[in-house]
Amino acid sequence: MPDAPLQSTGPLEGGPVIAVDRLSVTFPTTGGDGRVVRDVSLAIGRGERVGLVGESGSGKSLTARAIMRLVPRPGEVSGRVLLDGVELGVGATRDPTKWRGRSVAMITQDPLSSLNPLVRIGPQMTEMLRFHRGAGRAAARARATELLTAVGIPDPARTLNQFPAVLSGGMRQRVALAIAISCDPRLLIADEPTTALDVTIQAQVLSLLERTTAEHGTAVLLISHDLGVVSGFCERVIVMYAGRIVEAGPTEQLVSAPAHPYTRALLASVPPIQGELPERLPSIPGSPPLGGARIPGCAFAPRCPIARDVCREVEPELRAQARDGHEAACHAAGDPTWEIPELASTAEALP
Amino acid sequence: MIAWFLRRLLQMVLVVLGVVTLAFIFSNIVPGNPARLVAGPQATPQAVQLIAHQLGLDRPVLSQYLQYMWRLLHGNLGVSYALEDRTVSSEIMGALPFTIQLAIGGVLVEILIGLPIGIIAAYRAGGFLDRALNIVALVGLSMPPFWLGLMLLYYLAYKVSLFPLNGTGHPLVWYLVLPSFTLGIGGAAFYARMVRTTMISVLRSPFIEFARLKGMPERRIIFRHTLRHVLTPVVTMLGMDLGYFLGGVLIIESVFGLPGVGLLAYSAIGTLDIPMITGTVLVAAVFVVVMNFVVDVTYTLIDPRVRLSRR
Ligand SMILES: Nc1ncnc2c1ncn2[C@@H]1O[C@H](COP(=O)(O)OP(=O)(O)O)[C@@H](O)[C@H]1O
Ligand code: SF4
Ligand SMILES: [Mg+2]
Repeated sequence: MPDAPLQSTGPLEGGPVIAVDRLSVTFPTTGGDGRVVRDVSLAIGRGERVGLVGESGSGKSLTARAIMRLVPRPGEVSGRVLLDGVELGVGATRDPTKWRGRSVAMITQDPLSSLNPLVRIGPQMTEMLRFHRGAGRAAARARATELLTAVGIPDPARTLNQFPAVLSGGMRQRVALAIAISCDPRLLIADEPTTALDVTIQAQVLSLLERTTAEHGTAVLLISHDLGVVSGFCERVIVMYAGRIVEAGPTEQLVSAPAHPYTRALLASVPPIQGELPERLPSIPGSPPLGGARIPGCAFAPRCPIARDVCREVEPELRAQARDGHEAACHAAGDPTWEIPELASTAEALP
Repeated sequence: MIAWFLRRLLQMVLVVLGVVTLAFIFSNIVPGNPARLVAGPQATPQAVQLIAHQLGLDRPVLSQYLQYMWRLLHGNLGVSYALEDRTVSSEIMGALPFTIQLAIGGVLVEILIGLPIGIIAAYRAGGFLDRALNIVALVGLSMPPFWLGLMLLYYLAYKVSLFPLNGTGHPLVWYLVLPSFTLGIGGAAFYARMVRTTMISVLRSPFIEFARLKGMPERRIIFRHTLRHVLTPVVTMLGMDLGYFLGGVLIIESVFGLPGVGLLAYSAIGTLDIPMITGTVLVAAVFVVVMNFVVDVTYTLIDPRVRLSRR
């Protein structure tokens, strides 16, 4: 349990746009104690790009949904989320339509089906401008055209009159992105925005995401299971394992000198950006504990190559490392008495 | 799209002709001699013979069939055996207004009651209201219409004279309230269940989550983003029901004394009035087939994906 409420906080100008304080999500029906997100605390500054990585099932999407206050039933959420210092879901922000889409926007893991198949693109874009901004019909349409142009849709006027089914996956993801940024949110959460797309389109969508958010100083929380995608895009990276933050720090630091064996394993499983692909990608043996399973000590211990007895007994806390803003939850981190095996060579090819 | 339309049209004509043919065949193989029924129990064999000749019943069935079809192509449904010198079309035309209005009343009851209940139940899925409505729907589904009709008549028309007791009069709407309710209540319960199921699954879909992430108010999420998806199965059922009701609903018509197509067909069967039987079957078939077509066209209007597949 972290002592300071707001850890994982990088260098911020002014207050953070979003501050997440000991957020937990519990599903009473799942095995173990059912806590699939455990005391996640993080903060993101204005215009900052932060990545959230971890294998599938580590609790990334639920963290995002908990921030958006859209955890599906019967999930229960505890902890606080502060938007520009104002707690969400309390008082004036009790009504989610006052801030969702308007101040915090999110595109989901399943972009291909996030557009309503029975509603034309036009109204799906303009409804947000009309509702949040009070824009008139014509003004909203003009802005929608602009936005579609900005995300690289070739024939915006025509696209507005079309149904989602006629657009390709990449185009639909662009439309979803255009919708998400249409009200200039303070924070955009992008949950695996490129996972469903093929590789060439992935890169396009990521650079588009970078361009459109940089223009308005929108902060981004990019969620991905792929450390390669995240490290190329984000200034700071947060690594999650089994519902907990296990390491966080500036991208450069985390990639060149990872402190947690899990991060090292993730790095080793990233394909090199330059050069030949190795015959077989090294992947992490074993699998993460299933949602909410309670493991004494370090949750990674069953898969950790350097685990010792203490790991199986005492849960390591998230502790500050030598470099500023770098934290890790591992008994071995920063302890010279632990033998750290060589990093896989593939990691050196990362930016 | 045009090709699709023409294909459908041809299909519809074939189905109706097929049904008429079947009706013709079945009327001819049931035991019993229509001429004897027309002539009456006291008639001499000669008289029966004469009537059989007049009706063309002494000719081979195939020749009768061909003649019937030939007349049908000219819009002539023939003359009733039982009701002398009354044409089948005039009888059907006389009965249709009751049947049509009853059918419309029936489907109105189905949607006006079924849709809102289904929507509310879906929205409160698992809650008290949902469970209560579920029980109400079950009761609605399990009440036999003739029993319900008689109960309504007894309590609301006889005991408390809220509604007219029987038959028809002015304004007709007044006489149709109880029959429509009786006709539609089972369907309403079914619609409620179906709307609930569909809506629950639509409410779970990613585009609804995205609409919530966009900060859209619930009202808009229901009316703009969800209901359209519920409409497809509702329209299907509605079209089927309407087609079916328009063919005449004997039980309702007889309980409430409404002289519609159902009663007409019933009495025609009793007297082996072959042209009348075939005529009423034809009308029912046409309604079902046409409503099916209307449903298909409506799909196209609701769902752009269907439109694409029919290019
Ligand atoms: N609706 C739900 N009900 C029960 N358990 C869930 C639900 N959604 C997610 N979980 C569990 O929570 C864990 C984290 O899920 P998620 O946040 O989607 O992971 P990620 O996005 O990192 O792949 C998983 O183990 C999953 O089984
Ligand atoms: S705490 Fe122990 S088991 Fe867990 S990651 Fe560190 S070394 Fe491995
Ligand atoms: Mg996920």
